[in-house]
Amino acid sequence: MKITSLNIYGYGKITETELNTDQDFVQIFGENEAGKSTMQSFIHSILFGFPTRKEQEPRREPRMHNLYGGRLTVEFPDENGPVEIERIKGKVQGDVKIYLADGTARGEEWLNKKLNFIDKKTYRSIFSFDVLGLQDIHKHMTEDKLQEYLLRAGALGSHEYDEMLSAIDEELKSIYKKSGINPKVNQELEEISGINEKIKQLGEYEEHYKTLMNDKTKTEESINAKKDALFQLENIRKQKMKEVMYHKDIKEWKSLEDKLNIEPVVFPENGVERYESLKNQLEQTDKDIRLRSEKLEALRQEAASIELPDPEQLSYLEQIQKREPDIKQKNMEYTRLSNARDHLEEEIGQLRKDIGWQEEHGDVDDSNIVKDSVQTLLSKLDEAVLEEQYLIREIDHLKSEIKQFDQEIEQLEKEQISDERIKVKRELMDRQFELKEKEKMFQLIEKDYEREKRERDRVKRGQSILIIGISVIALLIGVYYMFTQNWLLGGVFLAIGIVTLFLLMLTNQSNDDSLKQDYQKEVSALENEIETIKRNTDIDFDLNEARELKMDLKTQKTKRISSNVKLEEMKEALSQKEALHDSVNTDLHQVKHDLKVNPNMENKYILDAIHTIREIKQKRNQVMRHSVEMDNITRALQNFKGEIKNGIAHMGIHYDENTIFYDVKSEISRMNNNQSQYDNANEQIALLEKEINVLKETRESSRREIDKLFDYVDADDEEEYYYYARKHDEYQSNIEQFKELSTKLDEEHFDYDSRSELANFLLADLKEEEETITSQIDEFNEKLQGEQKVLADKNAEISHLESDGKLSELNHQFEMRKSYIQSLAKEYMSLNYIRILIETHIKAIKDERLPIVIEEARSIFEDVTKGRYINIIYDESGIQVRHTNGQMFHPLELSQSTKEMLYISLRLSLIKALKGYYQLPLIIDDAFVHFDKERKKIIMEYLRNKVSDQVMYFTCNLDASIPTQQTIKLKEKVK
Amino acid sequence: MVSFIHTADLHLDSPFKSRAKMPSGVLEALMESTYKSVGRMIDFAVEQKVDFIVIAGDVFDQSNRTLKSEIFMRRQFERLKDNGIFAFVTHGNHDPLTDGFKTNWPDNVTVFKENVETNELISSKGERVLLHGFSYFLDDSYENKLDDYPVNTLNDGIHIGILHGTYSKSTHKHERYTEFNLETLNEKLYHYWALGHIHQREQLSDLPPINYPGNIQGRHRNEFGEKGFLYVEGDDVYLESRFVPVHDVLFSEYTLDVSTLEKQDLYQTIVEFKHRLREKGKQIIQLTLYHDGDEVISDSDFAEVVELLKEDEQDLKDFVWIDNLRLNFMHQDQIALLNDIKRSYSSNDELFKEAVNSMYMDPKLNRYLLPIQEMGKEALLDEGEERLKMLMRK
Repeated sequence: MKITSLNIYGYGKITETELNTDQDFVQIFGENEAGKSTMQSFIHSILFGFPTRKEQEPRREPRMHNLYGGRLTVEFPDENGPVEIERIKGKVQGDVKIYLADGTARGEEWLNKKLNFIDKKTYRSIFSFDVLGLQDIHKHMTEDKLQEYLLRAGALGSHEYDEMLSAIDEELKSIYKKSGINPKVNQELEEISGINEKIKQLGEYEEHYKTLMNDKTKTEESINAKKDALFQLENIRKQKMKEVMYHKDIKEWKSLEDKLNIEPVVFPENGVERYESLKNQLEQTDKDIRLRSEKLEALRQEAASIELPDPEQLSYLEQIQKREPDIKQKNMEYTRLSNARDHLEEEIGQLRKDIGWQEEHGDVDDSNIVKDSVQTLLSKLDEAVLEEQYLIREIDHLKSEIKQFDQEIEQLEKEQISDERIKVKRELMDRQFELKEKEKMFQLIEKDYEREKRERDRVKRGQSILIIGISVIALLIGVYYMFTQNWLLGGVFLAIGIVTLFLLMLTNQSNDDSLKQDYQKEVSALENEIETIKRNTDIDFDLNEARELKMDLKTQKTKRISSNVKLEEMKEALSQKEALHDSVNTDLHQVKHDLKVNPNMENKYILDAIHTIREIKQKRNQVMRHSVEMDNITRALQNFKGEIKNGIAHMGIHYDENTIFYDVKSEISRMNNNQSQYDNANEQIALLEKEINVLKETRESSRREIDKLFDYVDADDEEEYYYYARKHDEYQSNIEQFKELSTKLDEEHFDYDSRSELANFLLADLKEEEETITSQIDEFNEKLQGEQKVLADKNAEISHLESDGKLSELNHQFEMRKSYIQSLAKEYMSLNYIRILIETHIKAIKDERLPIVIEEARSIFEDVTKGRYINIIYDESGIQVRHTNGQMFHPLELSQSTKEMLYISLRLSLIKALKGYYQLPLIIDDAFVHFDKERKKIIMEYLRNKVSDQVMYFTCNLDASIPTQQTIKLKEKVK
Repeated sequence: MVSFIHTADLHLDSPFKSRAKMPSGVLEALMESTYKSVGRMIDFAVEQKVDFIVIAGDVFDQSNRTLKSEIFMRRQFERLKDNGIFAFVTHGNHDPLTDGFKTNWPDNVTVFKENVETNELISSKGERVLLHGFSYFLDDSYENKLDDYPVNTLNDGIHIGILHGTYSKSTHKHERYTEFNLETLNEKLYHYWALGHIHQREQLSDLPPINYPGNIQGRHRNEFGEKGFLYVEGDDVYLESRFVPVHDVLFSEYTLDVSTLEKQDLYQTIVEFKHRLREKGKQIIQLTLYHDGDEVISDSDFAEVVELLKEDEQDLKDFVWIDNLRLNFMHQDQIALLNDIKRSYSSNDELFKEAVNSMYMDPKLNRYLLPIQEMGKEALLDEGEERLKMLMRK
């Protein structure tokens, strides 16, 4: 990098100053306080930032005004064109802006990268030379320092390796020492191994869990077995207790069994009751027989006192009684017949009035022959009347029709059209048809003609173009020949041209349309003709209509003629019918006379009169019949009366026509009553006799029953019988008791054998057995309790294990500590890794880079001392130089200027070695004040010629050997 | 309609991994957290009256397989039995069959044997459910058993495959037991695959549903986020699964911008931040602070703040325990010296080994360390650099 110009806006006391430093070597001359140090500081500040509070350097902010900072124009070997670096007041280190030659702007990062991350301190200690620095070369240029500078190349920041390493070491020691006690990891290891121990113990303890579970199962099984046994013993004890309880019953049962072991006592079923009831029955029967015998005697006396009637008298009276309905019927019939006869007489009188008879004429002929002839006459009369009426109506109708025909004919005759006009009309129609045909034809011809014409025109146009072409050519040739003086040929060709043109014109003229015109003429002639006809005659009618009118007239006339004929015929028929009508009327009059009815009676009632006459004759006959029947009935009643009057007189009954039948009936009922009383008494007597016999039989059978009962038990009398009855009762009750006990014991599960066996035992023995069993149960219970206690203990232990989370907790702690150790270990290893890397790096630099730097420094040193010192050596005591005579010198032993030379040599060789990293301008601040002219010249020459970087040499002693263009004088400008 | 719970990796009583020592209150909460989560799951099962629950391996954790956990599990199973719920359990690499049991499960629990087998059940609605699976016999990988799962050719009933294994495309580096790919599972034509082993919840496929439910309670900072089980419901057409969180302690990561590094202010800022988090229940968090400014805080002051923050959580029920507190500076650069060093020597494995061996060579210590191959060079270097920066910040 090369600084080509400085532009200070305001920095310390310098304001608005611009310096051109576009040289590889620039001498900046200024007297004291001219601002040389300020300017150096300015360069540092612009490149690396304004001084901060931490740095031991004033900030040099201007006091008089506010412009702080400035601009450097620099050239980078790998950048095209100058780059402007401007830094002005902003944040602590100032705000930087970089302007590139191409006009773009960059920031601080770009600059840092461009300067390869070198910081201000490093830059100063490598690239800045000043008197103070040269003073203590042995202090500043120790091997370590040199190493550090070398190490620092390519790095930024100002931490030093020593610092780092010592910090790391301290940290590492606090984390872990292989055989330490206090470091964190060592302490953790101690604790974790303790936990591990505990985990092992607890783990083993938990393994114990399985054994515990097995023991638990075993104990549980044993307890269950004991419980079973106990249960059984308990059952046995219960059995024994039951036996003790029922022992008395069993004994009783046994004794009963022995007692009943005999032949059973027999006795009839319900023997005593039966005997007693039989005895009672016997006594009762005797009493009944006595009572019935007394009653029988009384009845016999009663029957003897009743009187009996005579059966002959009774049957005679009954016969009279039977004829009662017949006599009553006959009386009623007589009354009915006299009523009917009166009624009929009345009806005959009414009918006679209807037909106008003053008296009855029984001889009048009313046969069907008369009736039929009247009927025929009547129908003939009706027919004649109807026909007359019809004819009269028809005649009227025909007359009116004829009148209508006449009117219509008159009308039609008026409407007729003359034949002449019709003829004209027909002619006109023919013409019009002809015109239409012609027009159609004309259109067809015209179409064809047009097409043909177009075709012809086309051909003709082609021909004419050809002819014109030929003629033009001929004319041109002709004209040409005329110019060439060849008159003959010219004339010929001109002539040909003209002739052809003339021909063309001719052919074009001959074209006309004669045919078309002819047709048009014809058509228009026809049209004219039609127009003329139309104008001359009135032909505004339809031909068909005229024809129809004529036809109508003809038909109407024909119709009128036929109607007249019909009218004549009908009038003739009417006169015939009137004659027939008069003859029929005469016949009917005769009939009325024969029937002796009023002759004025209307013809149509004649038939009804005949029917009435017939009815009168019938009724008269019926009246005659009723009179005969009434005579018969009166005779029969007289007979009956004479017959019975004598019969009943000797029986004491008086005959009366009205009460005879009642008297007979009361006599009959009195006789019947006496007869039935007698029969009743006889019946009762027979019944009582029968009852007495039955009762006697019953008494016999009871006696036999009693004997049978006594025989059954072989008893002689009543006393003995009752003794047997008592015996039987006793036996039965024993059996009952035995059965009851058996059921009871059966229900308690004592079977026959055990019952018999137990009956042999004594109660005391049983009680003793029961006590033994009870004591056994107690024993078992005690054992069971013991085992249950053991089980409870085991369960407690198991549940303790199950609920105990200690192992789990320890495992957690273990893992926790383990991961803590891991994280510490990682920290340790990472720091250790860094430490190893740093140490390796340092070693590498020492081994590789340093000898090169020293060798370079040696060659420079030899060069600038003109070969008086030939070597630079670093050893345990620090830096030493070898004189050409072989002597070794410590820098302190050297002269001031040689010492400074050595320093400069080392620095220059360092700069050379770092050339790969940094290419920055050297800033030399009056470093060569101790040099004599000779030395100064040497070093100046070296700087000017051998150093490739830009050198800025600040001095207060102007070196005249340096050209003025490489010199800047500050003096006047600052003041 | 059948409903069941799909869970896996209960890791009952699994010890927690934390960077720092914890107060007893936090420790106890952590110790109880797996139990509580499982308890909540069983509560859910009873409440929803599910037909059965499926546990796809790793019920227990080999590093803390104690009687306590077994007894707890037995009681939970008994609760299920009282409510007529069945349980189907397979064992995984963390609790293989050979580890042995000290207690016996109730008869509603079906444990799959080491060979693939099929268990059948009729749901409350009368559907036929067939479950296929196997248990780990040893802490070993069983790829060969995948072929033994029967293919559902008849398609009668609902088929559920239970598998404890690693999806071949997953990125997990360690413990890749029983690797499988989706084709193998799809070929079986099951209605649902209940997977286990991977602790991160994931749906590998939607049709058929192939799900990792994740573990039921996070156990260290890498198992962050909500944890729980899957509640599956449906029929032989589709089984819908829904995640139900039941974790007791939540692991999570947060970042926080801090404007000042002054000891008191920093402490207050973090306390306020914790206060905002507290409503989410018990939490263990990784907190990274970002400072955008040029202030610095010394290592000892920072340590003091960390200590104060820990003391705050001593006796709280809903604690927010900061497991790791990191401070990042937005503007302060790395130690550039180290960049050069890293460039030059980080490829040198000898140096790394030397650094690591300093501890792994100590027989008293190395048994507690992670396997040496799990030590990452990069991670170690990064941590070292950060530690160093902390040390250098005076």
